[in-house]
Parts: sequence; C-alpha cells; structure tokens
Amino acid sequence: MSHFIQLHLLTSYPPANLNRDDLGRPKTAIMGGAKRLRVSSQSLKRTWRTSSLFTEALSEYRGQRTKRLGKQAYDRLVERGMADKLAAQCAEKIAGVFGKLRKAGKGEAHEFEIEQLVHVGPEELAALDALVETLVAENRVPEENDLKLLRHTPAAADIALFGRMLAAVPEYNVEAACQVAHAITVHTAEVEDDYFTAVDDLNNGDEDRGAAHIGEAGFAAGLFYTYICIDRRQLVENLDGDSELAERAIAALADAATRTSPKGKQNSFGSRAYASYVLAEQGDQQPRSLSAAFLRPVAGQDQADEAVARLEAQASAFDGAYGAGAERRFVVAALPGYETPSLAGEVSKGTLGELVEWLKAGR
Amino acid sequence: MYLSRVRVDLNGLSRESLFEIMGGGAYAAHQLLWQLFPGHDGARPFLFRQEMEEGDASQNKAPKGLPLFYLLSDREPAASQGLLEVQCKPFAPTLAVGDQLAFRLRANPTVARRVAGAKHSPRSDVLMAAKKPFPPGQRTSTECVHAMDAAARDWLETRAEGSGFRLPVAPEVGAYRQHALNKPGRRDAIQFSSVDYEGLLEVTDPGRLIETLAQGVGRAKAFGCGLLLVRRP
Repeated sequence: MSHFIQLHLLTSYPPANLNRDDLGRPKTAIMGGAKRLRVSSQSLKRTWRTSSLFTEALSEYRGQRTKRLGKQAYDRLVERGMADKLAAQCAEKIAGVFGKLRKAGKGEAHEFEIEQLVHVGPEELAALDALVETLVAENRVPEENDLKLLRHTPAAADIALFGRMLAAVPEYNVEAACQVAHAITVHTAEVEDDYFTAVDDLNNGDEDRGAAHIGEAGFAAGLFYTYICIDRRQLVENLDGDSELAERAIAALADAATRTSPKGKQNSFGSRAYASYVLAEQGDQQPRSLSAAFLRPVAGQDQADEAVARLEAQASAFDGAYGAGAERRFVVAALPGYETPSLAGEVSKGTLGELVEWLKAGR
Repeated sequence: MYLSRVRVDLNGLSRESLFEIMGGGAYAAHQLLWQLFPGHDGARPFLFRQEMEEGDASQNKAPKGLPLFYLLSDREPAASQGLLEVQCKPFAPTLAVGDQLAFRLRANPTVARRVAGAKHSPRSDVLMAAKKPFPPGQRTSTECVHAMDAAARDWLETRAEGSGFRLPVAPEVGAYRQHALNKPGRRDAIQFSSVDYEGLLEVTDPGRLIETLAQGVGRAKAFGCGLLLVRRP
C-alpha cells in the first residue's frame, strides 16, 4: 500500500469564511516577506470534523470533543435517582479519568468540567454509559477498576486522523495520522495600508486594473493553498488494523476538505467554497509541502491559473531535484480553461468521485 | 482633500500619552493629531482611524504594536513634534456611477430616538439595543451575535443611499468595542462604541459619496470613527 497520501488544494474563500482573531481581524501570516491571510489548521480540522459530509460518511465511528463528561454523568445519575452528594462524588471521579478538574469559581455551581477538551471515541462513551448504569444499580462510588474507561485505539475515525492529547493520562494519547498545514493565501493580503497606497488609482479613475478575482460572494478574500498529509500506516494502526474504516476516513476527509470551508462568522453569505484545484499524491516517498511555490506572492489578473501553474512547476522542480515525489498523482480541476496537468510520471485527471476511488485503490 | 498615514515618534511623546494612545485612548490620539493643524481654529478639519503597526519587515522598520493613524483632512497636515512620519497624498477620487469599491469603515452605530417630553433625542447604540432582549445568560449565544451583526448591517444599509452608494453584498462586521474615555476635567467618562465594517460598495451618486468621504459616517468622529476608507478592488 502507499504509505503517504498528500493533498494540495487551491480554494477561493470569501471573507465570511475567514478565521479571525479576538478583535475580528482576519488572521495573517508573513511568508516570503509579504503578509498573507491565514486560516488555522485547527479551524480547518474542526470544519471538516463537524461537516455533514463527515458525519454522514462516518456515522457511528466518530468521537466527541467535550469538557463536560463529568457533568453529563452527574445529570444522568441524579435523574436516575441517586442522591446529589453521592452523584457528585461519582461525577468527580469520572471526570478525573479524562483530565484535571477545573476549579469552580466563587459562587459558581460545580459543573464537573475538566480543564481541557478531550476527544473520546464511541466505545469509550459506551463504557461510560454502562458505568453510570452500574453505579445507579449498586448505589456506590466507582472503584479503581470501574474507571478503566479509556482505550488506546478508540474506533473513531476523527481521533485516528487528528490524534488526541490527554494531559492527565498521556498513555492514552493517539498520534495524529493526518497533518494539516495552516492555509495561506497565494497572494498578499490587503491591509489598511493598501487603502493609502491605492489612493492614486482612485484619483485617476483608472478602471482597467480589474479585480484580482471577485468571488461569487461579491468580494473576494483570497485564494488559499492548503496542504494535508495522511500517514496511511499510522491511520490503520490507530484504528487497530481496521483498514476498511481507514479508507472510509480518508475518503470522508478528502470529500470534506475539498467541499467544505470554515465559516468564521456564520452570516448572510451562506457561502460554500469548493476547491478550484486538487492535486492528490500517493507514494512511500517522504512527504513535502509545495508552499514554496508561493514564496513570491502571485499577482495580477489570473491568480487561479497562475497559482496552479506554479504549484505544478514546484512539484516538477522537486521531482527534478530529489526524484519523483510520489508514485501516482491525480488532479481534480474546476478551472475553466485548465487542460492537462504539466506533471511527469503517472498522472490522472477526473472528478472528485474518481479521486476517492483512486485513493482506495492505493491501499 | 488629503489622505495621510501618520506614525508616532517614541521620542517626542511623554510616556503617559504613549501608553494612553496604545491602550486605545482615543482622546489622547485626538489631541495628538490636532498638533498637525497648528493655529487652526474652528471645526475639526480631519477624520481619522487608529490602527496598529503590523511590524511588517518588508514595509517599514517601525516595531509591531505601535499606533498608526489614517487621517483624512481638508488641508495638508503640518509636520509636528511627536509625530514621526506623515506621508500625505492628495485625495480627489474620480468616481463614476456603477464603480465598485472595496471599503473599510470604523463607525459608531447609533440612532437618535425621540423621547416624549425630553428636550433632546437620546442616542442609543444599535448593537446594544439588539442585545437587550436577550437574557444575560444568552448574550454570547449565536442568536444574539446574529441579531447584533444584523443590527450593525442594517444601520449602514439605511445610511448607504443618502450617502451616495449601495451595498451589493452584505459587508463583514466585527470588532465591536465599548470605549470609555477620560477627558481631563470631566467627571464622567465619555462612552461610545465602535464596530468595523469591511466590504464592497457600488457608487450610486459620485458627488454625494465624495461628500460622505469628506464628512464621515455616523458619530464619534472626534474619537476615530467615521472615516470611510475606499480603494478600487
């Protein structure tokens, strides 16, 4: 099987979908000496994990990210008739399995919350449910033995892909099988300064500069390069050897990553950004991002075409320097005027559905 | 008109005023910028907007986090002690009906409502008004945030036509802030709020829009609100 899968995406996001800081300003990064818009990998991963595409594809094989397991247990225990005080003791012990309890502030009701979010898989939740039943039936606090709720390899595709970290019990950490880079624009970001710089264009009524690309939402935020790398072996290992589920997870991720985009602020845009271009690679070679293609910001009118040309040129340049970067490549392009990939080696071109099949064939 | 980009000189400022400006003290900023118009006596001849130096290595050497001002004035600002660098450009946009412009605006979105028996119509903040119906526990809920964003958008939408433009797409709204300024010699703090808009506008009446640019949008203009920044997209 191919050890690594790499996905390189070019997606045009409208401003509504940007990842913003606490002052509402879009997040940025400096690359190649120029400022770019940035969408953090956390934001991307969350978008994909919570997308309906992902949930439908992986239904019961998804985890839950929460701080409130203790509170949920407490509520259920009380509901089933356990005395408040005993239920509170149980809830504290249960919450303690997953992390350090957050101290309740003065005058704040105890919520049995833990300090960090924890990602738990379906059978871990089931074990927790079973424990609650037992405790109610036997009306006691949990023993050491009852509290073995965690699994080393939970059967949750999202945990297997993105990993998890349990500060309190590191032996139950799961090494992420999928790495996601922050998405950055291939061109420079507009800043207030641009409004100062652009005064001259305003004064001379020069209409012919044309918009870089005004997205369907009316005004464009940027064309982003996103890089995703999946370690297939690690993924299968995380899923306890279930390669069937691993392939489902890969397919779901490819689908979600190309067809959903973050909604930094849910608002009137209701925008949906599909990737304009996807280059998928499979092979055993060491993975590498192609972001070097955009060290010099893309400028001018045809940003999308230019960006694709640069991306393929960069892949070819790496091939030339280090040998083929992948065994097989597959391109999905939704760019009017895009004909054939200028890449060496085995390259196919097709639809997203065909890409998903092609990924499966590499197992 | 003139549009200027103004940076601050650390050597020419007292520590107090620098800290106050860096803390977003719009009153100190307002006083500082007045120094660019020495001897001027009359109505405030400028609008401004305060930003922060991004410390972008490729652009300038100013360290990150220092205040940076954009200033629109009806006369050329004079260089001044305490203001490091004033880059100034004549600002005389050539606009036609149908032109689309990218814009940014920091505004104080208030409406004046007549109250029976009161001499003045008290002004109220439209975002606050949108927030009010929600019980305290729900004020960070998505619904409440939506309602506030919608109120902020409506505020600009209702002003657009009379200001010479229309909004072909809903603008982005963000950075809603409450300010309280202490003016020396005043007992109470001056309170106002601001919200940042960003989006695309279409020119419907060039003459009217140029007037709007000169006069600013909304209130609290002495405190860095109302400057409509535009550029060709």
